[in-house]
Amino acid sequence: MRQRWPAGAAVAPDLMAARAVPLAEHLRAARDGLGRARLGARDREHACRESEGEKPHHPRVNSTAALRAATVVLGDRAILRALDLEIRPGVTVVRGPNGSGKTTLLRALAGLVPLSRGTREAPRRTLYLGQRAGLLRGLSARDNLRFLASFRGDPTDGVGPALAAWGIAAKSANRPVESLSAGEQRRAALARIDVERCDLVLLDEPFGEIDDEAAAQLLRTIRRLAGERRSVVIATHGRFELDGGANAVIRLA
Amino acid sequence: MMLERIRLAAAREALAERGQPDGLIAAVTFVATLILVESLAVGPLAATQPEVASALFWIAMVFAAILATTRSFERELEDDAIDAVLALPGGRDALYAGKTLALTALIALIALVGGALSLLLLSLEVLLPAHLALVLVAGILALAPVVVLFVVIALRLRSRAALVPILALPVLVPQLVAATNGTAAAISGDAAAALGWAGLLLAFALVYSVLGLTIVPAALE
Amino acid sequence: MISTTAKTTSALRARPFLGAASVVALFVALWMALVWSPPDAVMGNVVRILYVHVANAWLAYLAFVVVFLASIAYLWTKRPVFDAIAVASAEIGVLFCGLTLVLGAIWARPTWGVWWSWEPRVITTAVMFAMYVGYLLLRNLSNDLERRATRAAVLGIVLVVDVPIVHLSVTWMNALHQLPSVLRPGLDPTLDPSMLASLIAMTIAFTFLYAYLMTARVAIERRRQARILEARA
Repeated sequence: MRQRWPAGAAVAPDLMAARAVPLAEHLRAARDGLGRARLGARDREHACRESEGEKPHHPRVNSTAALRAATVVLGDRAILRALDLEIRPGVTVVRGPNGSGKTTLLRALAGLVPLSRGTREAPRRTLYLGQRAGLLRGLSARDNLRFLASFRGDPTDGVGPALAAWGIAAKSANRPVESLSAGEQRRAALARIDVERCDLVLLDEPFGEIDDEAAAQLLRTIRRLAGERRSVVIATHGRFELDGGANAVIRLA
Repeated sequence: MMLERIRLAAAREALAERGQPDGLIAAVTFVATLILVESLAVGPLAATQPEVASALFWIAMVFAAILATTRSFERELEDDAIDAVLALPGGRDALYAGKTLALTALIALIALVGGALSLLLLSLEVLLPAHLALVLVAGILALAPVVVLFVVIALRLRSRAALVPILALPVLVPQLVAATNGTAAAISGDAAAALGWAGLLLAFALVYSVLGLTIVPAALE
Repeated sequence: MISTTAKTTSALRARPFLGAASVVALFVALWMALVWSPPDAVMGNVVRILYVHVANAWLAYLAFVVVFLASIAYLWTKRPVFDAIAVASAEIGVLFCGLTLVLGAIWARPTWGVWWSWEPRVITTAVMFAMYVGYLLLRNLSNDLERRATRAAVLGIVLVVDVPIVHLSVTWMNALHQLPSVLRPGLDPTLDPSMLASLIAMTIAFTFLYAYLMTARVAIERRRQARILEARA
């Protein structure tokens, strides 16, 4: 049975450094893809407004996070320039060649890089999973996740089951993380999604080092998060099946 | 909540040091070697004088503390572990405070070994052991925040290894002066002086801890 | 943020006047110091170096206080102009501080017979010199405007806090070791009025020089910042 992805309304906002994917192209891809995109009345209204070239008025209450006129500079280069971006519940995919700023965009949303200009709005419960595992060596995967959950004030009893669900057996979970393989470390990091229930989940190339089984689990997890009306922002290469169910695909040049 | 987070960050650091004690081992080895070589270099006659012995010990401690702290923060950079904490609300402040606390304890451990070695090597007779302990504690409390501060400032720079001593040593002059004089006083039996210097060290510790907590998190990235 | 067009602020317009004022004031002060004022009863003509030495010392302290204030201002407002002021003042401060040490040594040799003394003020000045050279070194290691400015600002604040602490600890150490207090270099306020006048004149001259150098250096830094910002765009 074909999955129906909850479809959001508008296309990617027009970015100075990016090309927007026209809505029509989206709809075609969605129809030809995993399922038919269902547009509600409000969505159709927004779609019409977009094609008229008018700036869409999205009610603030509907956006999980946003970057407004955000400029991020690293060294002597502006990686992001006057970026306007709203993240809504559901899936947002970020694509672009290497060096185009995908990582910087996610880090900006996570609050890890200061903005030279502009503002950032993001929920308190934001989960950022970068390209590297982000686990402290010397600690076990279990201790790492327990620490991060406790830091948020969350209960830690879900850590063991979550790690197991992502294929990290109890024995591995209790060994220092540096003794795990790269793929295992990444899976342990991904288990944070289940432990720390966050409104905004930022994933930077999450499919990088994990095997097919874990990749399938990740896709299921993303779908579940979208179904729970949480926001997921994924920077990735390939994985075009994500685009069909995404409410926006941002292409950075 | 913040206190709890600081406690968690300190516990995290302590656990990591236990799981991966290479920094601690390196620092302890370093301080022992340095004290031995220093004592040899100045000669046994000079080295047994309280002032000289104290100075040799504390200078070795400064470098060992820098070594241990640098290793600890390098571990944070591996696999971008630091990002995971910085991305959490209150992460920056708690990480700085928590790591400072844990590293202070670590440096105390190193000082214990270095101090014991000094006393043994030089057959030093300590006239005021309680005062000596006080000065040692106060000295470490005054030393650690400054070292962590400079390691954080230099964290993402290439020449970190050279830069931290260059920046830290001038700033540590007061602490070094106070610690060496206080230690020498405790060894030679000058109670009033030892207490005075210990008090000064504690004041330094307070000033730098507060200063560090206030502004250093801004530099943490 | 910075505009890429060079704005003629009031500081820039004042620069030629400051330059002229510096030159004039320096001439006057030097004449007063070297010719007009009398030789010291004890030191003789050696005292004349002190006028420049002390003036330099005060200006060095002033420069580093400016670094401190500019650092706070930068952390508060994130405006690059404060970073420019901080680096300019630090460079000029290092210059004055180094001169202070050199002139102090030149003064000390005939007076005390040694090039160096372990007296609080000397040590504090030497430590200050080392600290701010470290500050400039830190700045040199990064080209990223904002990050460099933030790091430097944090350091700028820490360093100033340390200066009085250094002085305090060395004073206490000397008291404990009962070092002779006759080693204290002296220009005390109950000076011959013409000596005091020379000192004040020299200080005023160097203050003009400081202001002039600041306007020049800040302008250079602003141009560099503007270039980097343009390269980004």
